[in-house]
Amino acid sequence: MLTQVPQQAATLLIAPTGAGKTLSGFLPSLQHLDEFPMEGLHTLYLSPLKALTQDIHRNLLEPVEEMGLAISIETRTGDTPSHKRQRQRRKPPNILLTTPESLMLMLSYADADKIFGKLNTVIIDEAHSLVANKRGDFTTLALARLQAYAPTMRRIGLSATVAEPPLLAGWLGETGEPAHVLQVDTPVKPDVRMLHSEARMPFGGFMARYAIADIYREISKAGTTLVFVNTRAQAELVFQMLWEENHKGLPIALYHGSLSKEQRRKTENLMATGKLTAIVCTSALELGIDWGNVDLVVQVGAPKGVSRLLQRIGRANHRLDEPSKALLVPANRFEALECQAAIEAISNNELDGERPQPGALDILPQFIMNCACSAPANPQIIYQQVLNAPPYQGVDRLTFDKLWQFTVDGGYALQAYDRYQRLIKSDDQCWEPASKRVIQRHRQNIGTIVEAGRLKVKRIRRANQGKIIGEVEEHFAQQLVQGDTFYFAGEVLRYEAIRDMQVHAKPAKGGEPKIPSFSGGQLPLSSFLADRVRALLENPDRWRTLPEQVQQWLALQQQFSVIPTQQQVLIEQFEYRKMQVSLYYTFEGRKANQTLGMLLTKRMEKMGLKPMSFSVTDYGLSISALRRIDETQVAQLFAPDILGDELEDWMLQAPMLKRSFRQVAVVSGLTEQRYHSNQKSMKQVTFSTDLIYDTLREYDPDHVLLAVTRADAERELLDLSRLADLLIRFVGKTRLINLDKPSPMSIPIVLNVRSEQVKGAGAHALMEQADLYAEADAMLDEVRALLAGKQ
Amino acid sequence: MAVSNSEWLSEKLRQAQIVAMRFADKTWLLDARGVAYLPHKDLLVVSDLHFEKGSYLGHYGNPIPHLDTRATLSRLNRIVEDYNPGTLMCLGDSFHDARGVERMARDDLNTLTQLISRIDCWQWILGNHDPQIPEQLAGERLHRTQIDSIGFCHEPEPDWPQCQYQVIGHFHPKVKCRVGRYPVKGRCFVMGDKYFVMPAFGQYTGGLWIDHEVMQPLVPKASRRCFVMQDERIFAV
Repeated sequence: MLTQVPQQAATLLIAPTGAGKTLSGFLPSLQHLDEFPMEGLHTLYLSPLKALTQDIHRNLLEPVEEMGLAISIETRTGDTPSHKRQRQRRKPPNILLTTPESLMLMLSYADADKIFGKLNTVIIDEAHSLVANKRGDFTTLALARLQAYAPTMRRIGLSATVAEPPLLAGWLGETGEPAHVLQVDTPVKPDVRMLHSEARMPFGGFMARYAIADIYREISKAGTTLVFVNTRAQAELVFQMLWEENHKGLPIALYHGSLSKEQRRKTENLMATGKLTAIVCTSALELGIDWGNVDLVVQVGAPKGVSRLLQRIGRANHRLDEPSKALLVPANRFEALECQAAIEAISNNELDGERPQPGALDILPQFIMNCACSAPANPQIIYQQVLNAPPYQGVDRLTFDKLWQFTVDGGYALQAYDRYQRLIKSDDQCWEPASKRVIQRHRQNIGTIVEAGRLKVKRIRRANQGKIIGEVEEHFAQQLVQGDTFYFAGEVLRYEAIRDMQVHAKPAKGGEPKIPSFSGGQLPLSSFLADRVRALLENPDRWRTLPEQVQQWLALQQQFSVIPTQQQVLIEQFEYRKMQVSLYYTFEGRKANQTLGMLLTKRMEKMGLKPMSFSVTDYGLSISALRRIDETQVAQLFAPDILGDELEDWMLQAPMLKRSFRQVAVVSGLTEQRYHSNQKSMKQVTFSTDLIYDTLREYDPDHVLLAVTRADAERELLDLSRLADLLIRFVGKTRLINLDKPSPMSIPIVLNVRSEQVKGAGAHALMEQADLYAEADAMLDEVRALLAGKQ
Repeated sequence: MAVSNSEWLSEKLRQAQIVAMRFADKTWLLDARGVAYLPHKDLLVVSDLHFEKGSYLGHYGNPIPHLDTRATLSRLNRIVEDYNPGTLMCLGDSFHDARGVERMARDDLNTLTQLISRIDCWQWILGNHDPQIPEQLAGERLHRTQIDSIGFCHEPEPDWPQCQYQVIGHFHPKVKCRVGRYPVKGRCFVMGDKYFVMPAFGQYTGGLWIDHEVMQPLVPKASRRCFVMQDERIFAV
C-alpha cells in the first residue's frame, strides 16, 4: 500500500471491516508530512458520517503523538463552533477530517483556492456508501472542484467489500481515469445463523416482539452485542421490550440518528470504554466506528441487502482471523425467507451492488452557485469541471446551459420582469452572486438530504426547565394531545405542549405510549435478494433449512391458496376491512410495483372499480378498492395498450412526481429547506412546492426543473418502456384466486401501512357518504328562488 | 351566467364542486375553487389573493417562478364568469406587499383592471399585507363592512358589538383528518358560532392547521364546522 499509492492518481482500497484500512489510508500522508513538514492543508479526509470524523480523529491522534510527529489534525463538521471554523480558514491544519457538506461549504469561500491550493491527498472513507445516490453525486462534484484547485491531488478511496469493484473505481477517479484497485480478501466467512425460536412467530408485523426473550438470552451469553434494527421506531420499541426483559439489569443502550448529539456522544464513549453489554441501533452505527470488542451482531427484521448485512455483521469482532458472529431475527414469517436467502448468498460469496446512475441534475444549480460564491464563474470552465465528475460525464451542454440559466434568473419562459437575478455578470464571461443575501441563502442550504420538518424534544424536569434530548418529526408531534405518552430516547414521556417550536414532555409511567414514526426509515430490498427469495420459494426441497414454523406457514399457503411461481402472476382477492383487496405477487421489486400500482389503479378508476389506495412491498402490490375484480377485468387490467401519451401526461400529475419535485426544489435552490429554529408560530407563510409544480406545469411546461423532476422520479420508478415489457410478459399469465379472507402469505403485505391514496371516484364516494347535510335540498330551493331573478 | 341556471347548479352540487350551508341565518354556497357566494346579496367573497408573492420572494433570492399572479387571476376570472356577482369582495391581503402592483406584469395588470370593471361593486377590504390599495386600481376601499348582522373584515374584530357574526380571512385555514379510513388534507372553510374563516385563494399561499392555538379560540373544536377542498371537490368533515 505504502509503495503503491504515491504513483497513482487514484487508488481504491477494498478491505473487509477490521482490516485497519482507514489508518492505512492515512499512512502515505503521515509519511510524506514527516519527511516534508509544511504549513497548510495537506490531506483532506471525507466521511459520510459526522461521528466517524470524531472517531478517526481519536484513533489518528494517538499514533501520531506516540511517534512524536509534528502534524496538526482537526475535524470540521456542522457541529464545529464558528470561532474554530474561522481559525481553520485562516490557518488550516495539515490533516482535516470532514464531511462532503462541510467540504462544499468551504469550497464556497472566497479563499477556497488558498485553503486547498496545496492539497496533496483526499481520502474518501466508506466510498461504497456513496455510489448511486445523490450524496455521492454531490461528493464527486466537490472532488472535481478540488482537483481544479489542486491538479496533482491524489484520491484514495476506502471501501468495504463490493460486488463489482471496477464500478466503484470508475466513480472514484476523474472521468475516464478509474482508480487503481487494491483488494484485501476476507480470510474467514462470518458465522451467520437464523433464530429458530420456540415462541410463536407472527405472520405479519415488523417489531419481533415474539423473539425478545431469545434475543435477551443471546445478549447475556455473548458479552458485547450490537442489535441492529431497520428503523428508528423499531429501535425505540425493541429497546423498551429488551428492558422489560432485562431481569439481570444488563447495561443496554439505545442509538439512532434522532437522538441529540450529546446523547449519542455519551453512548459512543460508554461503548468505547467497554461499559455497555448491548446497543440497540439503526444504520447510524453501521459505518466505520471501531468499537474494538463486539462479540455478536443481532439483526432484527429482514436484512434487505447482502452487502448491507455484511457491513453490519462486520461490526462484530474486529479481528481478521476469527469469524464474525451474527444472528438474524426475522420479524415475521415472510422475512424468514429473506433471512435464509441472505445466509445462502453469504455462504456462496455473492454480493448485491447498486449500479452507478447518471448524476442527479438538481445538484448542478447548487454546484454552480457554490462555484460562483467563491469566485466569478465562467460557464465554460464550470461545465468542464462538471464533466470531470464521473456521474456527470454525459451531461450535454444544452442541459447544462438551461441549468445555468435557472441558477441565474430562474430560467422561466414567461418572465414578467427580470429585476431579481441570483447571478449577475461580473465581466464579459463570468458571473457572480447578485447580493450577499444570495450567498448567505445558498450557504445555509448546502447538501442533498431533504428532511421532513422536525421539532426538538425537551425533557422537562420542573417548570420549563429541562434539556433537549433529540428530535421528532413535525407530523408526529402534531397528532399528540396533552396527556399522550410516547417512547423516546428509551423512556416513556408524557406530552405537555409545543412551545417555541419544541415539544415539551415529562418523564412518565404507563399509558399506551405511541412510537414516533420517521419518514424515509424504510430500507429498499435489493433486487438481487428479491430474486433469491423467489427462487427459494419455488423450490420446496429447499424449505427444510427454514424454521419449522415458516415451513408450516408455506404449507398452509399451499393449502389455502397457492405458492406464487415464476410462470404465473398470482392474484389473490379478498375482503379486508370493508375493502376489496387485490394482491399481485409480482416479485418485481418496489420500483416496478410502485409504477404498476399507479398504472393499475388508473385503469381500475376508468373501469369504475373505485380504487382507494395501494401499497407496495418488494414482493407484491396490494390494491384496495370498493368493487371486486372478475376474470375478464383482470385481462383488461394487464392489457399493454394504454401506455400512450395520456399515461405520460397522467404520470406528470402523479403524487410520486410531486414528491420528487419537493426534493428537486430544495436541492436545486428553488425553495429552502424549512428549518424550524428560524420560524415562529404563524405557519402559513410557507407554502407547498406542489403549488409551484402545478403552476409550472400549466404556464411553463418546458421548464428545465420539470425535466429534472421526471428524471429524478425515474430513479424511484420504473420507466415506461420497461413497464411495457413487464406487462407484455404478464399477458395471459395471470391467475386470479378469490378467497374468503387474507391468505397466510398476504398478511405482511396487507399489513404494510404505508399506502398510496388514489384520487378519484372511490374517494369521492366515501367522502360523500360522510356528508351529513341532509337539509341541503331545502337550502337549495331557497337558493334557486333567490337566483331566479338574476339573469 | 351559470349560477342562475338551475341545472348547472344541480350538477355542481352532485359533483361536490359546490356545497350549500347555513351561517348567520343565511344560506351560502361554498365553491370548491375557494370562494363563498351569498345569494341573498349576490355577493362573491374571496380572501387572501396575495398577488405578487412570487416576485416578493424573489427579493430574497428565491428563484421561484413569478407566475402566481397570472394563475390566481385566471382562476378568479373563470369563477367570475360562472357567478357574475353584483358585488365582489376581496377580504384583505389582496396584494402580498405594498409595492406589489409595481412589479405586476402589464398583462396581469390589464386582466385585473378588466375584471374590476366587469363588476358593479368591487370592494377591497384592507389587510395587514395591503393597508393601502394602489391608486390606479378602481374599487371601494374599506377597513370593514357590514351586511345585516354580519361583519366582513380581514382579521377578527372582537369589539364590534353590532356584528353577531364575522366573515374573516387572514388565517389561511387548512385541515387534515380522516373520512372513514380515507385521509383528507387541504385548504378549508371553517366556521364556529361567531366567525366564518375563509380559505386563502392566492396561488402561492400556505396554510395554518385549524387546530393551531391561534385559531382555536375563534373556531373552537366543539362547535366548529369545516368544509375541506380536495381534488377540485368540497366536502363537509
